[in-house]
Amino acid sequence: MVQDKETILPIQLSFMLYPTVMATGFLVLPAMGALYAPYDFWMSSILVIIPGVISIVLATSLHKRFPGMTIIESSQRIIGKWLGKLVGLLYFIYLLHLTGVISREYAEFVKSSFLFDTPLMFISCSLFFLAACAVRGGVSVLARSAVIFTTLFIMPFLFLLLLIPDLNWMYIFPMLSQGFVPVLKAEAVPQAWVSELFLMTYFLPFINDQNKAKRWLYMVLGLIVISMALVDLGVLFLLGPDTSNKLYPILVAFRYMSAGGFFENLEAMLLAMWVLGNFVKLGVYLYATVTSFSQCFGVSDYRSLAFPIAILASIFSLWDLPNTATLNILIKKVGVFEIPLFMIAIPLLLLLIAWLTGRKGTNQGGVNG
Amino acid sequence: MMSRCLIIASSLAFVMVMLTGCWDRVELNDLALVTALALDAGENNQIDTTVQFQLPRSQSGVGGTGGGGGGTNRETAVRHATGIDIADALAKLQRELPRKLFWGQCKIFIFSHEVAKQGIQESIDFLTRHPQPRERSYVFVSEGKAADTLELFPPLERTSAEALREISNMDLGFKLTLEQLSIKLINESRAFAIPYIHILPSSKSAEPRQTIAYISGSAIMKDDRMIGAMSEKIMRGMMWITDAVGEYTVTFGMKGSTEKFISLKPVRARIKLVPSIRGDKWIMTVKAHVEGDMVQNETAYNPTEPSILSEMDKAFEEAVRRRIELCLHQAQHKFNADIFDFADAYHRKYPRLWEREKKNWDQRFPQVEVKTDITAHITRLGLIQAPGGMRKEEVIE
Repeated sequence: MVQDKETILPIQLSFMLYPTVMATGFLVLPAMGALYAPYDFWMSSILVIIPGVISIVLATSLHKRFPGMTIIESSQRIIGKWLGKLVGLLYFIYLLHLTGVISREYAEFVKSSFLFDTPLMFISCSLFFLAACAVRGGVSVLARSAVIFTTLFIMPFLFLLLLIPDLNWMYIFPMLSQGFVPVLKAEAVPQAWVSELFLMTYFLPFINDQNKAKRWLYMVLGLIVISMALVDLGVLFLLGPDTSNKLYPILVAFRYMSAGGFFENLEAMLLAMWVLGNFVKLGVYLYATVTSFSQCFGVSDYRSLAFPIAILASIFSLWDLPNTATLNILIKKVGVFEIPLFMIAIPLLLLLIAWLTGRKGTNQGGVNG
Repeated sequence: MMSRCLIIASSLAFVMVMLTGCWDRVELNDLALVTALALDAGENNQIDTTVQFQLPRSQSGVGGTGGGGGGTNRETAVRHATGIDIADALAKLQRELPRKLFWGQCKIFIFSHEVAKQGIQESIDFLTRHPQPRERSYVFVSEGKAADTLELFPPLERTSAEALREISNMDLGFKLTLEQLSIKLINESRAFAIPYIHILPSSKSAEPRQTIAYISGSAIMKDDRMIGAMSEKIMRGMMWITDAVGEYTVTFGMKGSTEKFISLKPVRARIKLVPSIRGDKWIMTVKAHVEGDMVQNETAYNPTEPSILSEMDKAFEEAVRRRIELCLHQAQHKFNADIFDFADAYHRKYPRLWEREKKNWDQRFPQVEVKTDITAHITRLGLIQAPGGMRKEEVIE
């Protein structure tokens, strides 16, 4: 159950979830897709509707069955206390690892393209510090800062319009020259990213109007699909067959912009939106990790855990990731399976068990009491 | 209360430490602003890099008053170093420079003729991998030594690099950015053209180096090697086909006349490449819709007469066709280089067939039958009607 009277608005939730998917997505996804479908990868950004809808349906129906509970709490109801705690522990460890990977991704981009001499640890830890502050402030602080930062995060996308004179629309052809299979392959990474929407399970208990929340959730999914498609198409029209060879195609796009001969070197803007978006993303992940831990082990106040777990996660950001190539492989080959495992497969299994055994949440207080 | 003060004070201190930019703080007077990079072939397969950097305003002197420097206003200097590859050469170059090379303002990369002949792929790897060189910078191949084009002191612009950039920006001629080059290196046609630059002979009253480099013609590249150069005149045909005519002036004779000409400026074009395959014959139709405004009419014909105007249209059409065919002939038979990206047009229309056939493109390309389908119109006649300064009775109506 909700531990105190904190509430967030449905619109705030959508402001939190948009960068949760897009903050790293817009930078990393185009190149990953282009690797498999050099001219068709933009289609994969439309197909993400499917995993997106699935994770929204899963999270909201789990929450409907067990009102006021996150997946950590409801799993203890569904499969028994100890098995449920085991699931909670798995979620905690996985989210801790994923938070680490995200902060590494964040720091690698900053270091490789902007702050060449700044230690990696410093870049990721400074963002961790801020994210931990936000989480320590509570979910409503996180939600309110998301409203401000996500707005600022979206705005630089408009600058992509400056690229229009440099775009070559012809790169959209040949369409589906290798059939539909490469598009499905290109879909692998984006679907994992979008399934992260399931993290809403940690925030749904704070929302009063669940029906309105649903509307906003589908709206944010729509917005994610539209912005992914725009980013993909923009990059494709600018870079064509060269997209897959770039580590960060959108960085090239921002560097390529030139308006009137003086409005150039806009990549600083990209860095700004990268920091803002990843602050929200990291905050959401850190909150989810902290909540998993506190609800799994019955810690009554999650706030005091924010800093220790942030430190732990920052260690995970270095652990087993010796270089960027490994990080890329982790995302490309492992992430595509493990993210949907936690965001779609396990919740689906839990929901099925709950449905078969007919277990439902009651309003007599959470297991943590 | 006390603790709150402490928190505020410590966070302020923290912010102040952060605001200096930490490890990556750079002072402007620790930087050498690179304006151009030239790559020449060194001995023993090495590469010779030359950078042009801007001298700070205070040090450049004002026009060398009182002899000595003469009339040239030198705002740039160059340094060069030789290395195994670009990175190595630049590292050596950095040792000879008291300031750190800064690439953010570098908008010009020049390959010498020789380097281009040896292949540019390795250099492009450096330029696109290194986070500082900008993808929008322009790439050129120079006629002689690339380094020479950097040791010029233009009368109008501050640096010779800036002069080249402004010329490219003007939309008059052919231009290629680093990113476009990077795409062309991996596209289907395996051939492309790079603007070819020459040093403009300096005018009589100027100092020997007081001139600029200018674009004329193009270097024809196959895979990543230069196989020849195309003259400016022939290159114009390529610009028609690739829809890049820009603000150029077209001059042509009426009815095959080689004495009296008509000039149009600006000309506008809409070009469409329509590939088709009939049996074993590959046909490419260049559909062009071109328009131009008259700026000079040397002939005695009165263009306000519809029948004469339509004849002029026909001559215009013929002129465009001749340019296109001239260039096509060279590309197909002299160089066998698909600089028009016909390959991409086929790839778009026949993706599956293309996958099978693309290895034969080298044999196929010279045999592609190119048809031209041009409609040309002279849309405006300028401020006068009949030929200017000509008596009424001499005008042919």
